[in-house]
Amino acid sequence: MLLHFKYSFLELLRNRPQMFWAFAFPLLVGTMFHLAFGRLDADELFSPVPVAVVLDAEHPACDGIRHMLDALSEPEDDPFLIVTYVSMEDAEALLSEKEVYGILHMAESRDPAKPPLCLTLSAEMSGDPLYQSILNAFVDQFNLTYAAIADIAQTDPAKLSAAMESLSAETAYLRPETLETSSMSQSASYFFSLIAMSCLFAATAGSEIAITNQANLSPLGARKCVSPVRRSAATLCELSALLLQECVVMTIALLYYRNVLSVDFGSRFGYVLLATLCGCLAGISLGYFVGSIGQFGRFQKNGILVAIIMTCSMLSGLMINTMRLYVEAFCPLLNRINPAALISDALYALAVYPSPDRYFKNIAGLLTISALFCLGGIALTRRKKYAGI
Amino acid sequence: MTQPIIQIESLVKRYRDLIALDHFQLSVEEGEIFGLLGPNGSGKTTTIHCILSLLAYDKGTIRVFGQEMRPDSYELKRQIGVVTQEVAVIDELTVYENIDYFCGLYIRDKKLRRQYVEEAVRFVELDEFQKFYPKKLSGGLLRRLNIACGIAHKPRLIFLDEPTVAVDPQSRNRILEGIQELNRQGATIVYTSHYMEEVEQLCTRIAIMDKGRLLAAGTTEELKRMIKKSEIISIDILDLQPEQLAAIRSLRHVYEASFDGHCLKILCSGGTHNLLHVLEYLQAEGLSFGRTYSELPSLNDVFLEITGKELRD
Ligand SMILES: Nc1ncnc2c1ncn2[C@@H]1O[C@H](COP(=O)(O)OP(=O)(O)OP(=O)(O)O)[C@@H](O)[C@H]1O
Ligand SMILES: [Mg+2]
Repeated sequence: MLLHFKYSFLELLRNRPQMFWAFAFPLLVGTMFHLAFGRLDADELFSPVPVAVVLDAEHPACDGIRHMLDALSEPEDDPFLIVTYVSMEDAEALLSEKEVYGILHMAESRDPAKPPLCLTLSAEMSGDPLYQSILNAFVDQFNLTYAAIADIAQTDPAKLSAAMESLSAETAYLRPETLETSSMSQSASYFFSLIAMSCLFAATAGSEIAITNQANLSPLGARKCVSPVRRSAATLCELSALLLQECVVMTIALLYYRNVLSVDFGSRFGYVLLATLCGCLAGISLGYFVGSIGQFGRFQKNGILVAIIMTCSMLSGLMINTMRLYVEAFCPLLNRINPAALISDALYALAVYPSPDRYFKNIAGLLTISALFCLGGIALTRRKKYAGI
Repeated sequence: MTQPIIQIESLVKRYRDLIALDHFQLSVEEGEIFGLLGPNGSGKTTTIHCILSLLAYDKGTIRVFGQEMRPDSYELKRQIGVVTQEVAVIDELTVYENIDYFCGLYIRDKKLRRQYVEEAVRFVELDEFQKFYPKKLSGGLLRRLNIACGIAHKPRLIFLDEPTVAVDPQSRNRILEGIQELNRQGATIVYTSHYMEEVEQLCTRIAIMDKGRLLAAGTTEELKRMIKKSEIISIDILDLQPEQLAAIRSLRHVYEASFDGHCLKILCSGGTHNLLHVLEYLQAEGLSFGRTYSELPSLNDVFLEITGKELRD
């Protein structure tokens, strides 16, 4: 078995294209990110965002909004906003004088089923776009949360308090994602996405292992299948060789991010590393599982795999920042089984919460789906006689 | 009588509408070099895959070493070596490492394995190429590596599926000698090919198959005895009248004669001194002739007669 492991590892190391892509993706894209977002680190220290707020006392959501805004602008508590309650005219004056980045006001309609909070930004895009987008994300998130709660209140009031709790956790989570409250830098979050994606791309190598172990998919598979070695043992061996390789590559990438690109992962670098390695494991097992399904050849399998990776990445918000929050609101289960979401959530949780609970929940999730994928792959391929070779 | 090493009975394998093996039966005795002869698509590879339990089949029984072969019959698999028709080696490993890798699937002991691997390298004469990667090997050398990977662990039963395709005649001869050597060392060999000369030269027993059916099996002599024709006489002649051709046809033992403008071809069945009779007739007619030769039927003739078509298209 050791021999098998050694040769599998050698095989991976000498596979130039595989080696190149394993390194090139995280390193090159990381460098590009650094060049593109390097500026973010320049305004690293965020000040709270000044906003003008126009309340409508008759709106049913008015009190709730006021409480929330007060909580967010508590001066002792690392405030997120600097709130000025004013009338609409004064707010517009403040905005045009660039005293505030935007105006938060209530919707015209007082229908509780409609989103209550609106945002007006300066018409000329002169303000800092980053602050504006933060405000925007904040309003979106609030409305989404509000809608979800209103929905639950109507359909199943009993679950309301539980829902409130989970959703308020979601809101808390938005802040540091776009803001500075943690010790991590702004640009680190872009690197989280990159890390999650690199991990998932290990899946293609995982599916290759599945293919070269099946007699109907490759001559090499046929040869391995006639040998007196248990397929499960052999594949696990090869998968661990791949895991080792990915771990080395990702560790180097992370060190490169931290030491050369000076991405600030905060004090918990070890945790970041662990999440990354679990992510690699999940990616590899995903690939192995997909590679084990069905009869179609290498080409189709890789196509399917890339489609899956892209969908996972998209749903986890690697392309559109707020995507994962939408998924959380409408189909939370998807976020529990999507490896990309689990990886980025683990990393975000690390950035947001001082306690590692949520982080470890995600790690556990990653390990669980990895185990399921591996077992599934083995179950699909073990002791198999093929219909055609 | 001892139990056959491989025993196949009424094996049926279907690929959708295509019947690849049609109530095929076969038995291979210990110590044989068994040739499985058949044209492309006749089901040779399919048979081997069924024996190795890589393929699911529709009907029939297969016993190897007297036991049923299953995907998890690891003890049986340990004693079997397979040289696949398609080259199956790992591109990222060198010649030596490849052999070591595949041998390592069978042999745990390090020292023994090294010895076996070195013997295998010598066996296929790849000594100079030990450090080469498969991509840098020529087609024939690659085939030889493929063979070495399959036999390095000194199995008791070896399947070779057209191992000599693309191998030059010299190396081919050496491979054939090597196979005989393996056989002398005690291995039973199942060899598939569509080169009849090769099979005729190498194998102690031969089965001829076509379209998934067993047509005939036996030693070369037995097979040749099965068919009508026993001698083929060819004579270069410049001119021959139709009446003369007819007269030749009526000679004893001659059952067919043809003339294609400069060569007279006569097929005889049984009898001795057939050539002499023909030549006597030609002299009596005052015909002058050139090269004359007489051959015994080849496996090709056997196949031709059994199936009514040429083995090699
Ligand atoms: N996976 C498959 N699906 C459908 N038909 C197949 C499959 N594999 C083989 N066949 C068919 O089964 C028949 C037997 O094929 P097989 O490979 O056993 O022939 P063979 O005797 O080894 O020929 P060759 O000399 O070309 O190697 C052929 O007609 C082939 O087309
Ligand atoms: Mg074949």
